[in-house]
Amino acid sequence: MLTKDYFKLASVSFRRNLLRTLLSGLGIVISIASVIVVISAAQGVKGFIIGQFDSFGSNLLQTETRVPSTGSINSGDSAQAQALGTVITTLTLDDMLAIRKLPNIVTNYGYQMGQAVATSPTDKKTVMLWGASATFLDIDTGKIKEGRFYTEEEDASLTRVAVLGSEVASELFGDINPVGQTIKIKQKNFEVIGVFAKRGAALFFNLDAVVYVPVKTLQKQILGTDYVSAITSQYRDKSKLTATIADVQDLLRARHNIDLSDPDKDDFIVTTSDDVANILDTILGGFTILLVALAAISLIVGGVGIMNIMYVSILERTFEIGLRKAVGATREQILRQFLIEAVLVTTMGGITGIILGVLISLGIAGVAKIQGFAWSFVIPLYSVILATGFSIVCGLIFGLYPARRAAELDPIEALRKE
Amino acid sequence: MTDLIKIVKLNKQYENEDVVTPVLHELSFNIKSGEFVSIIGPSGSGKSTLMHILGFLDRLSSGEYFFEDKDVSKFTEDELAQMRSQKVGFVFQQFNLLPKTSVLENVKLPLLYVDITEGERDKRAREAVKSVGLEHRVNYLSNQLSGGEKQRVAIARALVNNPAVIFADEPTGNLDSKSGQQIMKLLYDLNTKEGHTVILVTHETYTAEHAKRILKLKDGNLVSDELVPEDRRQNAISGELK
Ligand SMILES: Nc1ncnc2c1ncn2[C@@H]1O[C@H](COP(=O)(O)OP(=O)(O)O)[C@@H](O)[C@H]1O
Ligand SMILES: [Mg+2]
Repeated sequence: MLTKDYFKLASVSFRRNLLRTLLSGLGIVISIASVIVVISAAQGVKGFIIGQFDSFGSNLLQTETRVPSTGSINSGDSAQAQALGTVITTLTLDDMLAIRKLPNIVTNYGYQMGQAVATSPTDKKTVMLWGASATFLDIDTGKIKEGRFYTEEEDASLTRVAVLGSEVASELFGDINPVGQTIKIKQKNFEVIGVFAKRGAALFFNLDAVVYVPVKTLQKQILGTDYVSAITSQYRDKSKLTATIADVQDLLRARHNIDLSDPDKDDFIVTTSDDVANILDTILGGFTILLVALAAISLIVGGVGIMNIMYVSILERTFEIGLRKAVGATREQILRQFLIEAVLVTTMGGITGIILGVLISLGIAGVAKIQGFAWSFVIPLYSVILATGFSIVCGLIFGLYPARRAAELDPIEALRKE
Repeated sequence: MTDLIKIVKLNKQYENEDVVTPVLHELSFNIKSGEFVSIIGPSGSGKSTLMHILGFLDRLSSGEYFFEDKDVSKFTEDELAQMRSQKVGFVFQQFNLLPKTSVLENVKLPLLYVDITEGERDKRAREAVKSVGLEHRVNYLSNQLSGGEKQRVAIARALVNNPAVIFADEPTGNLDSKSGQQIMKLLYDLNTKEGHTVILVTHETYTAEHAKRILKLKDGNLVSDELVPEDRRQNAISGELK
């Protein structure tokens, strides 16, 4: 018997029992579609989050404060101490200038953040108050829509000027152009000199709800401090990144008088956008595995459904099987006939599931884009290969038992079942 | 002529959960190629059981069975399937056609398990359909046929592999007398004109007398093995009931 003959037999059987065949494949369709959607959505989320970080600029090297380890306890205590309110005050704008002079650094900015209530003559709004150096816009991808960003001179002279995120501007001033208007933050008047263009939906915080002020103005006029919480630097050459990170670490350790031999004593931490991508990969990878595992369970449920339906179908077709054996079919030929039928059902179900999954993922991407998320539609090839492989294996596993039952039927007994 | 079938002291008993049902006892006989033999006996005498064993659908419990001088009692399942595929054709009382399937496809069924091209299968199946006079029904579905036509399709299916022997188990049992007569004429012609070996199982003496030789079973024992007198045979074939 040729492979072609088995396919012909299967197609006849499918046409005879169209509804049953469709129903038996449905479980596979749904689980394969969910595998595709889960994997694609994870890619979309990853792309979106990385896009969020890219909007802060490319080739970034982030220096943040960190509570030094006391030495004896595990490294988790640093984050814990910071959460409990331990503030590190050692990172300064002088550190920023020193880092800026390092060979592979293009430029950088220091910043300090906090929440505040901003009041216009007509309205008020809780905003993210972001005190950043004037070099901020040399790195960040935000675009000014009205007016301008503040200058080095305004920062140095502690001028009370503010640049508004688009949402702040529209909520505080409505249709009026905010440039030239005054807002009040912590009982101090700030002149609005610029407004950012809309940046769209965001994951961690809403960049359209930020009020930018010169970092020194924030330090001296409002907070009464002289430290920053982080310094964002842009490097030139990625191949020298490791050396650059080491340069920054050495520089700050020297400036902060930290024992060079013990990184646990560092009161800062240097990270890059690559680190962010890696962490994201780990987190999303974990979620993906979990969800794919759930989908795999549904695949098993679908497979058991197929086994069930095939089993019933073999009971119904006992006479046919008996006749085939009586006219010379071997057990192996009967086994193959039903196994190929099962694999065809699961494979076709799998292909339909892939198509359905792609369409759903496309829909999710479309909705996300309409909602303003920078979401890219990706179907990784491996997910398609995985789904197809799963479907075939599922057919083999769950088709085997009923197919063997069919192959073992006694022809005389079976022929009595006409 | 050499012996096509040779059985020696064949016994058959069914064993279902401690219950042992002896069916055939110490049967010994030979059948030569080209013979037309009837196996006759009352209902329950073991005729069908014997035919299933001779046709490789069932196994004997003890004794010997040689087919074309090969000891088939020790054949594996797959070897028996191969014998069914190549050496025998069956015609059953219940016709046993695939429902909702065309005459051509029904006749082709045994050829599916033979390694020949689809074109060759089609050609042989059409020839077999023609040889039973049903070429005008070749695309009819099996359930659109009369009983006599169904049984002719079954005979075509039994012939299509060009088997060494055709077994027919009560082939007229579900037919009116006229159709039954036609089927018997067909089997008679297959033996006398085409030289096929035919083994017929029946409980009717009149039907059995279409054959040259009658083996009589009673309670699983072979009670007689006689040739049919030529005048009685001619009576049966000409359809003169008595
Ligand atoms: N699978 C089986 N298990 C037990 N007994 C059986 C089985 N098949 C047939 N028999 C018994 O064997 C005897 C002969 O049956 P069978 O060969 O069909 O007779 P016949 O064809 O002559 O009417 C009967 O008594 C029947 O009940
Ligand atoms: Mg019988």
